[in-house]
Amino acid sequence: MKLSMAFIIFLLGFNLRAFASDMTGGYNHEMHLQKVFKVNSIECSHCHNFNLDPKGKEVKLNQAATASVLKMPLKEICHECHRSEIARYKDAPKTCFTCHKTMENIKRIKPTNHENISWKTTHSIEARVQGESCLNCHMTSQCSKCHLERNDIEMRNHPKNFRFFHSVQARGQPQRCDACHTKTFCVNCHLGKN
Amino acid sequence: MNYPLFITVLFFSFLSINCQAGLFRAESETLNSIRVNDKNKTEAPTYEFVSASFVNEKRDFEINSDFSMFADPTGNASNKAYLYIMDARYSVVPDFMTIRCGRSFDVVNTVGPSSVDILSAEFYLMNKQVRLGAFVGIERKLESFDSDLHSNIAGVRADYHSDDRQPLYLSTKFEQRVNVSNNNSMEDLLQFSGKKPLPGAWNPEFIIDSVSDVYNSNLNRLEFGFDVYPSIVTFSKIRFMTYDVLPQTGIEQPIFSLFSTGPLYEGRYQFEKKLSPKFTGSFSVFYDDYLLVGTQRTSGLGGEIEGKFLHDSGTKFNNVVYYFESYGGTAIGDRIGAQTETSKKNEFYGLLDMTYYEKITSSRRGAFTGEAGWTRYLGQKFKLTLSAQASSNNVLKEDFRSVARLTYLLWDEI
Ligand code: HEC
Ligand code: HEC
Ligand code: HEC
Ligand code: HEC
Ligand code: HEC
Ligand code: HEC
Ligand code: HEC
Repeated sequence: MKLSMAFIIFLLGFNLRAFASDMTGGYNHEMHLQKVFKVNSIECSHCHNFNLDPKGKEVKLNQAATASVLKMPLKEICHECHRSEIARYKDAPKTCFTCHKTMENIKRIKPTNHENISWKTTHSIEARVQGESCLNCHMTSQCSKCHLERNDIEMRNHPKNFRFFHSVQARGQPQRCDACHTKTFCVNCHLGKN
Repeated sequence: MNYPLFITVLFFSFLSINCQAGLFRAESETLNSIRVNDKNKTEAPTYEFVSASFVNEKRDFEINSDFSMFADPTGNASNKAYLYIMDARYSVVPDFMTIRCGRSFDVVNTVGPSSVDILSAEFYLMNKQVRLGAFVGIERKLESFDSDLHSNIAGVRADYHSDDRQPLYLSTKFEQRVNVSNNNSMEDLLQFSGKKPLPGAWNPEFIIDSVSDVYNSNLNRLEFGFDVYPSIVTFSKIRFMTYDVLPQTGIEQPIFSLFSTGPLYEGRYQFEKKLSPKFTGSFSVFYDDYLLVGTQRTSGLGGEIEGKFLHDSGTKFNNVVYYFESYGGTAIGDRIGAQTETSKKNEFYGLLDMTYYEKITSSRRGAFTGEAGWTRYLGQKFKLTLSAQASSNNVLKEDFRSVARLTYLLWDEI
């Protein structure tokens, strides 16, 4: 008799959907099975706490079975391929928002280097060296808020009182203005044009 | 204010166009402020920022856009419209060749980020471990609306990353620039950069970036440093840089060269520690030294100290003390912020920024700005923020303004 996945999964008695949250919405098990697991000889037991009986190879995934215990946190399972530089898994989409889609989810994965107060100014070198990595999580329209837009209602880049001491910083760190401003911008305001 | 309504209607009609299935993201932000300007007239500027992106299911096609409009019904502030981004990416040959075109904020092709009308191609080799690229374009500065500042640029690049968990990353770029609005001055920029995280104790990550102008034989920039994580709760960052750009280069004379006539050296240090699950403290300091005129050098120094605290009630507080010093004077100040969620749908926040400064013009003054606001989530996609701002400074003794901001965010499978 063919091994019934549904049976095993029923015995385990855990509700997988509860772990899965909205993150696995786009996860297509059948596709991974055919295009990824088979090709790379990855066993079910790599993630599940069961393995297929060698004779039971044709067992279809039972759509009704929604409970199982995964051996590692979902995060590790998906990241193993979707966040690695390993060439074998080069086809796995690496863009974080493939899975981290909602505003909340994206916020939760804010990298640690962002936490520091001065990330606003120190991301400069990281982005110059490997700008592409930022686009895993960001749309360029988020960068343009500080880099291109000039919004004087809601200051995005400078602190609110910056206008009153910008001459002090400009003379202390004159190299820090070139990334965004041109002489014309400064001169126009100094001459009272707007 | 019926302006935002107009925008949302515009969006829904946009959505109803049934494109190929994929991921669609749109954000629309409408800001309106009522305030008194320097000439004592009331103005009511309204800004609209709209950005939208689409990526298809196969991820071989992507478009991005970002657009803004500035209008003032009272006529006391100017009306403008800007197109910041309108670009597309397409994988012509999967896993081998991708092209991008349109107006971009480019952080991939050009040496340093730029706002550029670009056409670029990228090729992947060795399981995507090697990437080669080439581009042509017109770099523009959009902030000075009335002047058409631009440079013609073209370049090539190559990068490599190793196949392991702590990948070594190396990149080199070449960019030729003809600065049309700066007397057609020429630059040939050559960039080398790299990054390498090391496993084990402290987990250091090294990073280096250099740009030289081979046409004018000048080292424009050399920056390097490392990040270390001495323990699970501490983080520290060290950076050094030297910077020197020539006055005749750039789209327009660089701001740096208005102040400095020679190389600048800078050191920066940053430290952060999670003192408890609820409290994080950090500080950062910098010191700069550059050639003012002749052989006379001058320096700048400053820093920030920050504390972030999460109260049991869910209220977040943060406080930053900042300090800047140069021959232009000194500025010291304090920024305090608090933010609380009273329910899933409501958020309140308050901000204070107080600065005291003394300048070489011997003005000694204070500036104060305070803001309080309320954010409400309307349904799944809208966020409305109403805030009031008060400030007092040497330009406007007392200034009150109100701001309304409506954000529409959609991030969905279509
Ligand atoms: C790389 C990890 C991984 C491997 C290998 C793997 N699975 Fe799964 N499996 C999962 C995850 C994650 C879920 C939960 C998916 C969800 O919530 O939609 C799951 C869910 C299931 C379910 C529940 C049904 C469903 O569609 O939700 C079945 C049945 C199942 N797997 C069978 C198998 C079999 C049989 C194999 C071996 C051929 C296998 N899995 C290999 C990760 C894996
Ligand atoms: C063993 C490696 C591996 C693991 C583990 C893995 N994936 Fe994938 N995934 C791939 C590869 C390879 C592809 C690309 C398949 C293709 O299109 O050829 C892919 C494609 C995808 C896609 C895009 C599907 C599409 O239709 O284009 C999504 C979404 C996805 N995976 C989600 C997940 C989630 C969620 C998990 C964790 C539950 C996961 N993957 C775990 C390797 C993996
Ligand atoms: C293939 C899908 C997929 C991709 C792509 C993906 N992740 Fe995840 N990630 C997950 C899943 C699933 C979780 C677990 C979510 C949960 O437990 O609710 C997770 C969790 C995380 C967490 C932990 C969040 C927390 O609250 O503990 C971090 C951090 C994270 N991911 C970062 C990233 C980054 C950075 C990228 C892009 C380089 C990325 N992820 C790409 C699927 C993915
Ligand atoms: C793993 C995902 C991820 C990656 C990779 C990432 N970011 Fe972020 N970034 C975030 C999140 C999440 C936020 C917070 C957004 C929010 O709060 O709305 C953020 C915020 C920011 C901010 C705004 C900080 C502020 O104080 O307003 C900047 C600037 C930024 N990122 C730059 C970068 C740069 C440059 C890179 C590449 C070197 C990068 N990010 C890579 C997730 C990421
Ligand atoms: C909160 C405002 C803010 C946001 C958002 C922001 N940046 Fe920046 N960025 C800055 C500041 C300020 C600097 C100048 C830092 C310095 O050198 O002092 C900078 C510098 C840079 C530089 C180096 C510029 C140069 O010529 O040296 C790059 C590259 C960069 N940012 C990329 C990005 C990318 C990519 C994003 C979006 C993911 C982004 N930034 C978002 C504020 C921002
Ligand atoms: C990351 C890009 C970026 C860098 C770097 C930058 N600025 Fe700005 N600047 C902006 C933006 C964006 C605005 C519009 C207000 C805002 O969003 O903060 C602005 C506005 C200003 C204003 C007008 C402020 C007001 O109250 O209206 C002054 C003055 C100014 N910048 C000076 C400087 C000086 C001096 C430097 C160098 C020390 C500098 N900026 C570096 C992006 C930048
Ligand atoms: C929003 C208008 C505005 C913009 C934009 C602006 N400034 Fe100023 N700037 C002022 C005002 C007002 C003063 C006089 C008050 C003071 O000393 O701060 C001033 C004074 C200065 C001084 C001192 C002048 C002197 O002769 O003592 C310097 C230096 C300076 N600005 C540099 C810059 C640079 C560099 C930029 C562009 C990055 C810039 N400013 C952009 C408004 C502006």
